[in-house]
This record gives sequence, C-alpha cells and structure tokens, in this order.
Amino acid sequence: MTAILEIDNAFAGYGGGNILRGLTLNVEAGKLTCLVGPNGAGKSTVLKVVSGLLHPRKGEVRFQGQSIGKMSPRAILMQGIVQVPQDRSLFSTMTVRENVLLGGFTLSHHAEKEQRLEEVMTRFPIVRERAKDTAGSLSGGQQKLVEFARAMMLDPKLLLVDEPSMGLEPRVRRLVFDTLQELRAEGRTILLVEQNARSGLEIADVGVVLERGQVRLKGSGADILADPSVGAIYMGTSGRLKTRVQDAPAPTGNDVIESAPDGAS
Amino acid sequence: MNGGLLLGASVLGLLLGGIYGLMASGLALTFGVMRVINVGHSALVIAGAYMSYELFAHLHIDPFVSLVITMPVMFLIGMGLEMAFLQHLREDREQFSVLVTWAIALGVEGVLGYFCGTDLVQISTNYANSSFSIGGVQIVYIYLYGFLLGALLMGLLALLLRRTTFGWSLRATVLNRQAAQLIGIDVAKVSAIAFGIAAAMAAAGGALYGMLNTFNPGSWYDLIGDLLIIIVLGGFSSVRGAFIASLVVIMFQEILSVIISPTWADWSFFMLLAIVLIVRPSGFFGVKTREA
Ligand SMILES: Nc1ncnc2c1ncn2[C@@H]1O[C@H](COP(=O)(O)OP(=O)(O)OP(=O)(O)O)[C@@H](O)[C@H]1O
Ligand SMILES: [Mg+2]
Repeated sequence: MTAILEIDNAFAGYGGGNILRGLTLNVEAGKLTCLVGPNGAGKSTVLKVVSGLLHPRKGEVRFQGQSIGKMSPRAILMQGIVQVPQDRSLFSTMTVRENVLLGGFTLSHHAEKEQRLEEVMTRFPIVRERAKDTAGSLSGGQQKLVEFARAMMLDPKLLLVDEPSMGLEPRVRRLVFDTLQELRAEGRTILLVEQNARSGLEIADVGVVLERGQVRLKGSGADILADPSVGAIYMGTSGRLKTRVQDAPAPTGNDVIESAPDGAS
Repeated sequence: MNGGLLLGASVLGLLLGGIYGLMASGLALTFGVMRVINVGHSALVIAGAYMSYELFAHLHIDPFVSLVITMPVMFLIGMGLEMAFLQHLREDREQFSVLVTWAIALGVEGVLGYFCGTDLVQISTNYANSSFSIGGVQIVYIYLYGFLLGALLMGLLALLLRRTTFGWSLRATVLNRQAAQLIGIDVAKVSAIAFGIAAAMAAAGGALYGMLNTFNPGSWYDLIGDLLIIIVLGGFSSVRGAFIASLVVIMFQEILSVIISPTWADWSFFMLLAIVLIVRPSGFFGVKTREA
C-alpha cells in the first residue's frame, strides 16, 4: 500500500494550546479515508494542516514523499491537494459559473480553464443548469455540489472534504454521499471528515477515529463502524464526548451511531 | 423656503458627496478585504493633504497635477503600513485592528506635526474661489473638479475590480477569505495591495480636502467619524455602497443646513445612522450573506 499523504507526529493549534497532539496518520492513494470523532476533536484542524491553512508546530506532513508542512495554501494547491471546507464556501454574489471557474484560479491558460470547465460541467450538470444564477441563490445541497465541482477544476490528486453533509436534509445528504462514492469509484483519493459517522464510514475504505488530537482507532470502514467503542463515543457514554445536537438526524431506532445523547428525544 | 437655495444645497451636497465618496470607498475596501476597521484612514487623508500642500507651497505644483506623485507614494506607504503592522494580526484581527490602526493614525499625526507643524493650513490655488453660475446655482469649480475626479477614480476602481485578475482575487477575498485562500489566492498580497489602493484614494481625497478646508495634523479626528458613518450606511464592505452613501449623506446634510440650521446638519449623520440601523441594519447595500 502506498501512502500518498503521511502525517507524522504532528502538533498544531491556534494561539496557546495544541489541538493536534502528536497525530500520525497515513492516507492511501485511491482510497476514501473517513475521519470521525467528537466535536472539537481536531478533525477540521487535521485538514487545515494538510491544506496549509495552518502550519504544524512540530512534526512532518508529506505528500507524495515531499514535505509540505511549511508550504503556503497556494503552493499546496499546486501540488494537487484541494480542500472543500466545512462552512459554505462559495462566493455568494458571484454566479455558479464564475465560482467554478475560480476553482481554476491557478491555471495560467484561459483555454485550459474553459476545457476543465466543460469536463466539470459534464460531471456536475447542475453547474451548466444554474450557470448564470448567483451561488447564494442555490439550496444548501446544490451549493455543496457546486463546491465539489469547483474543487474538481484542478483535477486534484487528493481531495479533502470537511463535513459535507452538515446542515443538509437527509435526502440531499444521500446525494452528497453518492457523489463522494462516485468520485471514489473514479479512483480519486479522498480524505473525508464526517460527523454523520455511519454514512461516512459506510462509503469509506478506511475509517479513522480521532480523539483529542490523536488517532484512537484505525481500520477498515466496516470494522470501525462495528467497533463498540465507536458506538460509545457517539452514544456519549463517556461523559465528555458529545455529538452536535443540531446535526443529529431524527432518531431512527436502529441508527445507533448517529443518535445524539441529548437529541430530540 | 427658497427653492433656489435648496437646489444650490442639493448640488453642493452632491458634489461634496463625491469627494467624501473618494475617502470613504478606501475605508470600505480595506474593511471588505481584511475585516479591518481602519480608523487611521482619515490620517492618511490628512497625510495626502499635506503632501499636496507642500508640493504646492514649495514647488507650485497644482494639487490636481501632483496627484500623479502623491497617489503612488501613498500607495506604497499604505502597502508598507499593512505589511508592517496588520499582516501579522491573523487571529482576532477585528478587535485588535482598531487599536493598531489608531496607533498608526497617531504615528502619522506625530510625523506630520514634526515635519509640517501644527498650524492650520490650506491649499489655496488661484482658482480656489472661482465659480460659475448655471440655472441660478452658483458652482465653485473646485467642487465640480473634485466630484469629477472622484467619479473618475471610482470608475477606474470599478474597472479594476471587474475586469482584472487582481480584481477577481480581491472580490473573492472580500466574499470569503478562507475560500479565496483555498483556491490559491494569495490573500496577504491582496490585502497589502488593497490597503495601498485605499491609501492612494485617501491621497486624492486629501488633496481635495486640503483645498476645501483648513487643516492641521489633528484634523483626522474631525473626519473619521463621518467616514465611519458613511461606510456603515453603505453596508461596510461595499465600495459602491460607500460612494452612494456619501452622496446621500452629504446631500442630506447640506439640505438640512439650509432648511433648518448648520447645527442640525451635524446631527443629521447620526440621525441617518440611527434610522438606517433600525430599518435596515445591513446598510443600503449590505449583502445579507454573513448572517449564517
Ligand atoms: N480558528 C480557531 N481559533 C481558535 N481555536 C480554534 C479555531 N478553530 C478551531 N479551534 C478550536 O480547536 C478545537 C478543534 O477544532 P476543530 O475545528 O479541529 O474540531 P472538529 O473536530 O472539526 O470539530 P467539529 O466537529 O465541531 O467540526 C476546538 O476546540 C475549537 O474550538
Ligand atoms: Mg470541524
């Protein structure tokens, strides 16, 4: 197995303390790796360290064998790592087409951009359908798809996706996961962070549980899904760990992993 | 009420508004790009006024002509200030920025005081008071030229923002700084250049301010409140909003000063502010996307 991304004993944080405390994690090429963990575990921080929004204070981040820990977000982007962040990230008053074209901001040739745009529009028809609408006028799910489309402009070697299903209704959420699964089937390497652990792990080749800035468990997606201690995390049986209430789906009875401890019941 | 007086006040307000728009748009630009409320912006206006004044007093260069010197110089000074003092304030920018930019303003005031003294001065060109009459309204040339200059520079800025790659990066940075970073935009560079552009606009505004008013290094205090209110009304980060808000506010003020009294006119800013904040908190042109 070839690791395309290697994070080695990384420490990182904002201001005073460290959020990542000696994180070691490999992401294998061509696989979908899903990172789960409680709120504040540092999942988004891991992605920020990879995409260069945050620089590790200690430790190594290597992509295709090359150290990227000190590179700017732009330089990392040019290496082929693209991040779809947790918050809505489209430029709301620009059109869908403009947004997607901006995904190719670092491409120097206009013709190349247009060609990529054509390919991306074929892959994501919504971009063509809503090309002239402002991004802000789209629904949450549509915006997520356009964000994926924008990320595809650079044909990334590694796609980082942070909680794409957040705030979406179940049907739309399905669409987002289906899209991720298709991207994976196309052979893309994806590092996914997901609060809806079940949905995320179901489509993942590799599952990783992050807790307080360290990897606590790693295995196949199915194994992690079946691990009783993962259930414990999401059941909130260990007092300090809680899932976010507003993201918890309506209880479905058998949906152990996703039900929030202090949710709608 | 005299209709001619009212018309005169409206025209004067409109022209003066265009000049204020020049100063306020730079403030809106830096706020949009960096989320920095640059309370030192008016000190840059006064610095620009002094540059024009010194070039006029010593080298007899017309203040409209010397803009080709003062604007580039202020552009570089603005960029330098941003890189030296603001670039490092990554986290919690908004809170600290007021302190830092306040300190910058005091620094600028100090430097101006040291080199130029604290006496009130004015850029008095020989055409300072010439005017012409049209439809019974007396128009002072400087106001008209100032307005035209404001409109021209705003037009150029709009072109820059709409038509150039830099403009795209700047607008993307305004809309979502992190997303801009993630598509490969160097937001630090964009911020420095935006600050430079704002300072250059301040220089142009300063030249006009210095022709219309007497000023000294402390005059930035008088100006900043008005500019801040204008950008609140304009929706904070909208350059176009800031320009149009300037026209509206200054016209309103001039009209009030003839129909009621100049004292009331000073209050008019605050009245407008209160009304707008109650009726439409995002300003005339506020984009309502930041509530999420
Ligand atoms: N920009 C920031 N400045 C300061 N602290 C931050 C910042 N971003 C995150 N943190 C803190 O770092 C910790 C980890 O945040 P992170 O976003 O990585 O968690 P997460 O696992 O993604 O959680 P969530 O499920 O809520 O997205 C949290 O305690 C958070 O408050
Ligand atoms: Mg997160």
